[in-house]
Amino acid sequence: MTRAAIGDAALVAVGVAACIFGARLGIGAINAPESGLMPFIVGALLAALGLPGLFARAGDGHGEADGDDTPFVRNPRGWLLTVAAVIGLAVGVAYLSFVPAVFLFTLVLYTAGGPRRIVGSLVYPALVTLACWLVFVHWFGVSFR
Amino acid sequence: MLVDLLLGFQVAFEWQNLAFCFAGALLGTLIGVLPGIGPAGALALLLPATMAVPPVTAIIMMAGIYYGAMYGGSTTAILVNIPGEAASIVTTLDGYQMAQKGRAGPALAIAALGSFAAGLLAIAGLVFVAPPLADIALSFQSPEFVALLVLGLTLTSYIAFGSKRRAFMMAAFGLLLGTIGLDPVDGVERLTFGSTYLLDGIGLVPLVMGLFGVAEVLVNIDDNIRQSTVSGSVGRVMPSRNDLKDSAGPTLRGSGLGFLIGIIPGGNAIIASMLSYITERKLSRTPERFGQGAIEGVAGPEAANNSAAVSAFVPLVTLGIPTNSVMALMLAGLMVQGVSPGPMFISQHADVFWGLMASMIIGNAMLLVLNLPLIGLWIRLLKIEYRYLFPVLLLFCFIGAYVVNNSYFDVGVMLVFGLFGFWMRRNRLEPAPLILAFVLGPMLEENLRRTLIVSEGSFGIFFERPIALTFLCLALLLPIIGSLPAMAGRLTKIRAPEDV
Repeated sequence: MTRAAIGDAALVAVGVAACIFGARLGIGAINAPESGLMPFIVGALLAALGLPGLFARAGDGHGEADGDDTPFVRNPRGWLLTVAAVIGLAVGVAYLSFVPAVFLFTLVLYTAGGPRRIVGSLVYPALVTLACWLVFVHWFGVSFR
Repeated sequence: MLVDLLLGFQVAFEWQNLAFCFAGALLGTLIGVLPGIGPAGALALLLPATMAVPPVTAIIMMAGIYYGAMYGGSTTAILVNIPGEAASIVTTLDGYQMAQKGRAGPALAIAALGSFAAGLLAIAGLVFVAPPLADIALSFQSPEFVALLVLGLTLTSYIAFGSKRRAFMMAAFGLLLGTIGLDPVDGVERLTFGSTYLLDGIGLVPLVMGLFGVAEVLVNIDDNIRQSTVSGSVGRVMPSRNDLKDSAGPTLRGSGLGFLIGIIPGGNAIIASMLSYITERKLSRTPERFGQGAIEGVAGPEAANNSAAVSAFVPLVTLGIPTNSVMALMLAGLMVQGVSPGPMFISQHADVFWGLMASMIIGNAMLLVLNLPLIGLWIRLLKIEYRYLFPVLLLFCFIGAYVVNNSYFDVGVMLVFGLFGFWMRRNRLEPAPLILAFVLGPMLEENLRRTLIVSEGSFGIFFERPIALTFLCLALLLPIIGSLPAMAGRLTKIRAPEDV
């Protein structure tokens, strides 16, 4: 199964789930539509649009959007580190406060690409932290808790 | 109208508005210069900076970021053959060739002058078109809005690059995301899974931050983008008299074309610049020069993309309907400020509308002054390594998503949509149909349900109202007409073996 086919299948599944949810919520009558109508219509539309792609792929082995045979993630280390760093930033800001969390976040991402000089590794994150603190916390008064 | 415009200048010349206009234009140019971050990403990143100021200052800054990014995008397109934003792709064709021939200076100058002239013409068009259109929009009722929204969504999906079916799927997914939260009519909880955070639905800002900002950074990290390489000299900046003469026609045509494309739902600066390039090549007596460094190939598309950027404000300020992702962000920025664009916007917020118009004129003049002397600085900026930039970009996304509701839940939403946006890029899916459908979905639902209640369930109401019927016919016919050449091509291919 190709990457595009998996994506289509997932969206078809979401569409079917939305249809079921909409029907359970109540579609109402045509002159008195209820809350479930929109999720039902949109879910049905999503499923209807996804199915032809799946059948086309089942028939000929490839679909209209295929052709991208490059790996989905080329740099998994950098990719995962970035995602983890954003999660870490949220946890850090909530539990450590803004300044140390932003400093650590910038330090980790800045030094992740390879060896850096110690002074530069500390100065750049410190400058970014200071600038962000000045602009967002001091100037705009954003409170991070 | 002159009095209104004078009021606008009075607003725009307030020191705070002037400063934010300058900051927006400068930051927009800076971000437009840096490859990988388009105007939508730039706006998403800088949205937090607009939240601490009054609505008029906020929209002046957001508009400055937008047209600043359109200006800046041409610099990288001409100098390094990398479009700073998508609409500058066409500028690479002849702009980079001019740079290779030592004529980067005139190319940059014509791009700046053409953008300036187009910006002014489009603002004039906007000033004349928007108020009467708002008056017409006042007569719109639910059926007209349903038909217009259907047309907008159809065109947005149809115009998107790549598979049309998958673009429609993304629009449908966007509509589904828009149903999350309290039902706009009955106030019933939908798809919240018991979470109180989802009662107000998914926030537009975290969604856009994720799909544009985080996804962009993830793609660049995954592709190991380090920095751009700038080669060649800029040469003499001022264009010759011949350059100016050759560029005048394409600039005027590009301005007109861009203005029309910008107004159409789904129409955007990329399409405007491409159409302008094709038009200029067709009109040229020497089409073979195109792609080899023809100055008309720079002037026309640059004028078109800037004009489309300005005219995209028409549907936003008159109907409250964003025609592209950037306008959706503008809408979000205004709504965060408690201002809802729509037919009453110009009369109720005259200071905001006319202040915006006047600030655009000032901002475009600022950009002209900024762009030419600062070319050296932009070149140096292009040499900054990406590892310096992406932690800052992610920080801006984080703060931008958090600051709207002071909620870490929104940061989580941003991250989830960042990953989804990455998946979309890898599958060659455009985020624009999804975002527009997400924004327009609740409006569509509310108006559709109201229409059905009023008409007692009869769809005949759409046939009784000429404007609504016209919009629906266009929504149905345009994709069919547009796909005829492709269908004819397929038929020819099928028949060809039989003929043999």
